[in-house]
Amino acid sequence: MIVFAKEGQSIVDVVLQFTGGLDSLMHIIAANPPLTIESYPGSGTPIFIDNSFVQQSATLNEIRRRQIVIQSNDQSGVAPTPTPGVDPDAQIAINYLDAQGYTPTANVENEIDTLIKALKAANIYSIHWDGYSAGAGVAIIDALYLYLGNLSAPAAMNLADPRDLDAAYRASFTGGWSFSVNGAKGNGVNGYHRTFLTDSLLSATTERWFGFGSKSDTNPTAAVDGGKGAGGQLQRLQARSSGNALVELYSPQQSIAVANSLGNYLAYRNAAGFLYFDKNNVNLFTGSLPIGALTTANEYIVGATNNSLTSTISAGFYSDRIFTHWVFGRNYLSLAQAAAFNAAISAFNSAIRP
Amino acid sequence: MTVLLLTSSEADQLRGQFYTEGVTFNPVQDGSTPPNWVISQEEANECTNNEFMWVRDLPKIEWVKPIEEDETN
Repeated sequence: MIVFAKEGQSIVDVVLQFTGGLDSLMHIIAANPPLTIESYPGSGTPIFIDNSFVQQSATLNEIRRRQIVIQSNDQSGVAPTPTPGVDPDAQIAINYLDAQGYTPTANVENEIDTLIKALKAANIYSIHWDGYSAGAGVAIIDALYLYLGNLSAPAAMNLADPRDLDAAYRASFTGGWSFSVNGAKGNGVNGYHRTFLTDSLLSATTERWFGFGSKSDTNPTAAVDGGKGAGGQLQRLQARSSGNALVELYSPQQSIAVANSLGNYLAYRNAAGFLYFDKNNVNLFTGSLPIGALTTANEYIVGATNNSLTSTISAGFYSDRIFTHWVFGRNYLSLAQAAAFNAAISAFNSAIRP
Repeated sequence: MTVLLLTSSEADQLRGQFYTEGVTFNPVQDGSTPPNWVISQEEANECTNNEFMWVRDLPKIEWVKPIEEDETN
């Protein structure tokens, strides 16, 4: 069963009516509770909505259209409700994009679904917004920006928490940006976006991983593609600057010569001090490095690096790169998980970026 | 690349304000001596906030990128 709220209609006005003997509701994806169940033939008992899948982000005036998907294990003999086959978290993301003014094509929907299923298979995807706790040692994604939809609102979505909230690490764009099917591009003058991710507040360890995809082949002298902090223990990435890819992640900066700045970059480290830095799933650097302390509360930003406790940007460091994605994760990412992430995000970008 | 010239008070007025849904102005200083306050062409072109439509009439100047030493390089 699929029900749509009309333009401007409050989701609480939607009434679900069941015409068959629906035995159970496994998942309901909606905008806001409460939904009203008008009738439930053969039962006569209240149906309890599974709020764990209720998206809580939108205010009513943001709702354009919402899809409610019900999966049933009906064994009554009545024709069963078709199961979409779409991962519930992918459906939430698709619905969110739709509510933000971008209706994904069937191909994009399929690729979002494929991406999430691949990340889940590698045990590196979680929806932390519903209280999920990965537990110690399990690599999780805090933010994954896919920059979809040619508009700032859908481009801001965090796939790991599709809500329009700072607390969901939704991107907040500032300055000059442009959005296209290729991704999001800062202007190199004053464009950056906040993540609201302050990693020193996420966990006490320095096991972190982050990365991005680049559709631009540039070689600036001082721009920074993303990071945080200043003064000795930066955490930042740069696809190419003066001929070198740069990485810092609670350890001294590493510069590795690269021929261009196209492709997917991923840096990850473990608590023992080993830093790995890959480009297109090929290792650029592996080494044991001294580990800096979690001493600052600086916030990761994309398109530059902040150099104060808030978000003051060094004016010469803005990036004009086209980003296909950015990812920020924590806890140790194993080599196999890193390869799985690279494969999944590469496949996603190849499928939807021209 | 051209950018749009602001006075200091105009920069204060725009800073942190939304020029379109979900995106805020970010006045910055260029590399001139003395530095100019500027915003980008994108911010003016994409502005849908009626309160700030005047940014489209700002004078255009050539962008002078600030020269900053990367402290970690």
